[in-house]
Amino acid sequence: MESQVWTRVPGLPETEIYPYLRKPDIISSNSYIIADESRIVVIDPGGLPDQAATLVAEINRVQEEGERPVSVYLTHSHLDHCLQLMQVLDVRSSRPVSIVAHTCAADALEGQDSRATVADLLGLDMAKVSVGTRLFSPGEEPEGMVVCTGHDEGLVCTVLPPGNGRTPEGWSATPVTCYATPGHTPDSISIRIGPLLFLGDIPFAASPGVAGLHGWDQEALVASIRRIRGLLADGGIHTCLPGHGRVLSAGEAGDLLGSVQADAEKLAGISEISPERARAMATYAADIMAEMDRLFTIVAGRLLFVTHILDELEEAGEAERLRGLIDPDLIEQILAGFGQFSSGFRNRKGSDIHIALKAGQITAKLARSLDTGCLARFIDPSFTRRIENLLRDYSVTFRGYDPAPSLSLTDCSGLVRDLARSIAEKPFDESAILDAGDDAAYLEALVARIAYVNPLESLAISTRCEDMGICRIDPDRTRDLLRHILEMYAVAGVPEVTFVTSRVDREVILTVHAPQNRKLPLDSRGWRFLTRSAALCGGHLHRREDGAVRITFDAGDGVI
Amino acid sequence: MELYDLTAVPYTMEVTCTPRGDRTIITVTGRLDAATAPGLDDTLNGIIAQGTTALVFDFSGLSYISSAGLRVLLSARKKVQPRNGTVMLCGLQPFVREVFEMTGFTRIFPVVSDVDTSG
Repeated sequence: MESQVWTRVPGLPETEIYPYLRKPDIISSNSYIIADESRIVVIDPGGLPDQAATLVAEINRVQEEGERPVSVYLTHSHLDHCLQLMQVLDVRSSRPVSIVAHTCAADALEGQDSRATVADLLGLDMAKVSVGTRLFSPGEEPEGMVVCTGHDEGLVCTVLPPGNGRTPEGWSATPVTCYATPGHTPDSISIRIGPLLFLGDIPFAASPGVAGLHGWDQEALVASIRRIRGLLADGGIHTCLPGHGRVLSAGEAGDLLGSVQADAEKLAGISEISPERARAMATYAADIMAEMDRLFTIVAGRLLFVTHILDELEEAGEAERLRGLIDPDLIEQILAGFGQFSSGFRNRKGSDIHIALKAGQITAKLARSLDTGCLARFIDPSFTRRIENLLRDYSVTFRGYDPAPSLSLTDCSGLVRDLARSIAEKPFDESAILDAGDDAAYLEALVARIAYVNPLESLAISTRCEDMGICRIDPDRTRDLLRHILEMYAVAGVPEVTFVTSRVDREVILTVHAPQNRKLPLDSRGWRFLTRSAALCGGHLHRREDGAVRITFDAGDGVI
Repeated sequence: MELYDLTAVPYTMEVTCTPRGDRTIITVTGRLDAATAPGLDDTLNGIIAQGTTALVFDFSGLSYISSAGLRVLLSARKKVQPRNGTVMLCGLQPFVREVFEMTGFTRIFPVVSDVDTSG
């Protein structure tokens, strides 16, 4: 089905559909106009003025061929589906345009409920709208053209075409049948007209950044998807029209809904995406992207360094093989894409959720594009581990959870001493080049030697660690955090750093000192990132007045 | 606004080349990334073609460099090296300094504090 082209609906006499299809985003939904001899039905007028203007022009053109009553159905009350409702009401019609929606959607729109309509999240102002026909009102029969068929526990309402009796036998045109399909929102409905089924946002309801919107209900969603899949299995529906993206055949929709149901079943206990959480996600996304940018530039630069030296040693073949491991331009382009997108939203109301969603796309793309496993040949595993953790942490946050440290009882003092020792060690065997038995072994040893760059070699690291430093920490993340802190000191030209561990009551305190009260050269974002990183190690980070960094860990009973 | 620090860096770069004795001071400001690196590459190719072999990059106004920027510097070094040329860097700002130190590029390019101490 082509966007913005009138198409005959197979199986429905004299009925045409005009789909206005958009790539999925949270600014505006798809819209649909269905016209037959007796009526015009609009489904979801969308969120953009241009889109609404196009719909109005098409409706007016159809009216010129013979005026018919117009009804606007809303699949739910999110503003990307109905912000332009008032504009669409301005069509040429001698009779009032009726608005049909779930009674909860009617409440949300008439009460200008900024949470239910996600106006607060999108930073939009909404006009007060009066909904004429409320579907699924508890305990009362809908007025006007709506008749509840009563089967399926009263959940199905049938909207009769005008000028007909109040029983199905009297219908001359195909009825519009609305099914309550809550889960994405409490007011979600799916709408059937003959072989067409309009799904609203059910196909996206388990997606990160959508699952958890205000009113989202996992149990109801799973039940609704089961119900829709049942409808599809019953036959008679050949086309499914989602609230965003392309039109699907019934078979495609069945498969898609199967996987959406499977995803939804796993989403127990996710957080609600409130404006506050969206802000926290956007802040986190900006922090993570800045750190990804830093780490990736180092990784790509190191690769460039190693291949440059190999070229100079006339080992062009090996240099070329290494260059094939990652595509720095692609990664840079992906990261730059986030920066440009964010700058487009600078200081705009409702920008947080857009930025959080974009970061979700970007981190998924980076995870697909960057095979961190292959980087170990030319860079310390700490870098690849940090990149992997950043991508994973945002993915977890984006799916509605909070990343959690993998805590284990660890000897903090031992960890610090091992770290200080390992930093001074070369990660390759000095004799490997001489002992290499063949070309491959020789090149492997050569690359390892060239790739060895220790940015901490100018930093003298000492430790003053008490025993009994057993505490609950994530050891890998803690090592990476401490390396990060040491890198910051080294780049700032600090000559020496001391780690001190001590135990006070039920806490182990790890302090990182530099001489002359030298402070870490970090801006507020850098500190925010370190503080969060420390929390993911199981600790609390404090900046001391004297410039030292103090991290406290829970020591529990202090014994393993 | 602090949240969008990443985007506060301007997406532009400016290059000026100033002959000073037998050296050319190349002052690069802004952001040297995949989008802007080709511009610097063109400029360098031009001055190297005119016979310049001693390049001093003044990065005191450069806030960001990516691997694409590093590639341009390596390319310039490869072009002047056969003619006993030199490439020197000065005025490295924190992010740029970190990139050079963490990648090993300080082993390839001599780094001095400012233009006056570059020669």
